[in-house]
Amino acid sequence: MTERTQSATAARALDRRIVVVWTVQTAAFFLVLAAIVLVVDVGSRLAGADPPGPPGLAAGLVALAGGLLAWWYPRADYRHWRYDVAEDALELRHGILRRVHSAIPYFRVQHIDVTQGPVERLVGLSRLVVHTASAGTDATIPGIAAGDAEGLRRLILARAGTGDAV
Amino acid sequence: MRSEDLAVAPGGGGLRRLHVLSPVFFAAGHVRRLWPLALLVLARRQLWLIVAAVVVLLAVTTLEWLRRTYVLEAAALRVEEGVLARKLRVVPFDRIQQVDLVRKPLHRVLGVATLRVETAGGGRSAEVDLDVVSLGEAQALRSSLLRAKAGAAEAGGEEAEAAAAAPPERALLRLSVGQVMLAGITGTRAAAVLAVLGPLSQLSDWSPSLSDWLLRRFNPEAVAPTTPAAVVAVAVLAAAVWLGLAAASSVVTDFGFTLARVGGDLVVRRGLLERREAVLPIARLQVVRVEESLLRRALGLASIRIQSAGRAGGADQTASRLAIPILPRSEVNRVLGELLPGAAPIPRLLAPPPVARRRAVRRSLVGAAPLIVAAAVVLWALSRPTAPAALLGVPLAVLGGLAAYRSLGHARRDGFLYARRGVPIRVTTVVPVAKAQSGSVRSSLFQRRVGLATLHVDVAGGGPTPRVLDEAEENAEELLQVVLGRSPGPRFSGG
Repeated sequence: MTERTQSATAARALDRRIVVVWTVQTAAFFLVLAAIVLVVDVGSRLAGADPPGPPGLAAGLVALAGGLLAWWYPRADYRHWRYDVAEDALELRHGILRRVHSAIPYFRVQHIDVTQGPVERLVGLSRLVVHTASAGTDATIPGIAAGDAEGLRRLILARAGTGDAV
Repeated sequence: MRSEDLAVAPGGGGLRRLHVLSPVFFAAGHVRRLWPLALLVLARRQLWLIVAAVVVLLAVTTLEWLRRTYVLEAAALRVEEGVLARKLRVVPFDRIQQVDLVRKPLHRVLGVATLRVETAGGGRSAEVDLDVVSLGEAQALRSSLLRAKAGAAEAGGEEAEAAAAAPPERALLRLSVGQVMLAGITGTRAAAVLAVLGPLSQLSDWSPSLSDWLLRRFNPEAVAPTTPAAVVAVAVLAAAVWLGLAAASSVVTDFGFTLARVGGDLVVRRGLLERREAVLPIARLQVVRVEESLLRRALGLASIRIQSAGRAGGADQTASRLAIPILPRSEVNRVLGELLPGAAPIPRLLAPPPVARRRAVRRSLVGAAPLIVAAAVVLWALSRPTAPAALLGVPLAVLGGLAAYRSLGHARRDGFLYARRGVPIRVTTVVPVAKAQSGSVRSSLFQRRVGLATLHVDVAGGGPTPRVLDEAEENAEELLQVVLGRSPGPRFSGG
């Protein structure tokens, strides 16, 4: 019980810069989608079909919706993300529509990957992916300052010890 | 030093070769792989060519046999092979997941066997096949591999001691031929038979003359049933043939099914023509699933699936080698106690809160909606007045949802978590909490509105993730604490 109250206070938020990463990623996705819609729209008009509305309307709507989503979603996601390097387990809480609270005992950890995508590299963030012997384990911490990732990894591995985790 | 003692135990530690007959089996394997070439040789119908081919083949395979050696080292099985390209494979004992002994009909006549050593990690290359060795050698090798393995996994010290002294075998379950046939008739095999009948119906493609002959003997129009009685007779006959085939295929794979405990290992033997013997260290067992279809429940039967920490890719195969095809409902708890030492009999399960019932019904309706719509469209196309009949699907879906709610439940006893769900196949999953790799509580927007959540327990191996579906949020969180091995004490209110 005390453990739980402790862990509640020790919960950490992600690095704020992750909002930039997610915004760029979401916006890029919707830009590509809007471009595809635009190509289909213009193409079908050139081919003689007559879709409703003026040319470019559909693509504009997609871009608008994408823009709103790219603004709102990363911020909401960021607000809900907490991770906690508790005494005996790594605990993650995240999700907006589908909320997830997952916990990975340290002694189950097989290995930990630290990865960086191109956008993450630009803003100096890393992603920590914790693996156990189960494929079902969901343990990715997306926004860790690149300088801290190595330390966090070492901390978790130190707590993981050297037991046989299967 | 212990493991060294063990390693030299089975007849000198030197290089060993496979059985002298192995070149013949290699040759058969090559012929099977190069069958177009083999057909070409046979098609020439010249004796000298066939003889020459056989001689060349045997010469090559004899060379292969000479080059293929294996040796039990202090901590690993080492296999060397290859005539031109040489290959060396070293399998550390502590990586061995399972050792299978396979005996095909020809093997049984010749007194030999294939020993298959399966290791953790993906892919088919994770296996070493010793194809073939004499039966005695296979058995000795298997027991020394498993003993060495038990020694390598220093976790169970006394268990290793017990295993080293050639432990006696204790039968846990034996199935009669009748039970095996019943397994085929009541199980998914009945559906699988269709896959066999399918190709048979393509007979005309294979052999036009035969189908012509059949057509002449039995003119379809003359034979086609016209009266209702004839239709019923044909249906009954078809069903009988169908079930007979299901029973027969079940007998072929599962004849003489025995589950036994030898020291710290579980041994499963099965098969009519091809005898298979799978061995799983009981400590590697991750999850046990008790499955009861509607039909089997009515007959008081169940089947059991066992998940080991084996390869993720081939897990299905491993699982099917270990599955118990059928057993009386009354035996389930006894077998469960043997598979998971310390596991209590399946207790009375706690039902999820009543709000989960509405969710189950809604989920069932959402799942059935496309089917109902499709049925309505088809009926509309056939004859308009019958289309509303598709609405009958709605009460059916509601009933299905209610049944799904009734099947839900969970319990925890002495370090084991029991979770049940599923219609028409009700699956009771038993997870030793100590085997949980990680856990999570998940809730969708709809679940959160009524205070429900789902607990996922992640375990090693390739099976489905055990879940406690639609439990009250605070109960799910509390179960997660249990999964993490934290204070399982009385229910605490605060979160």
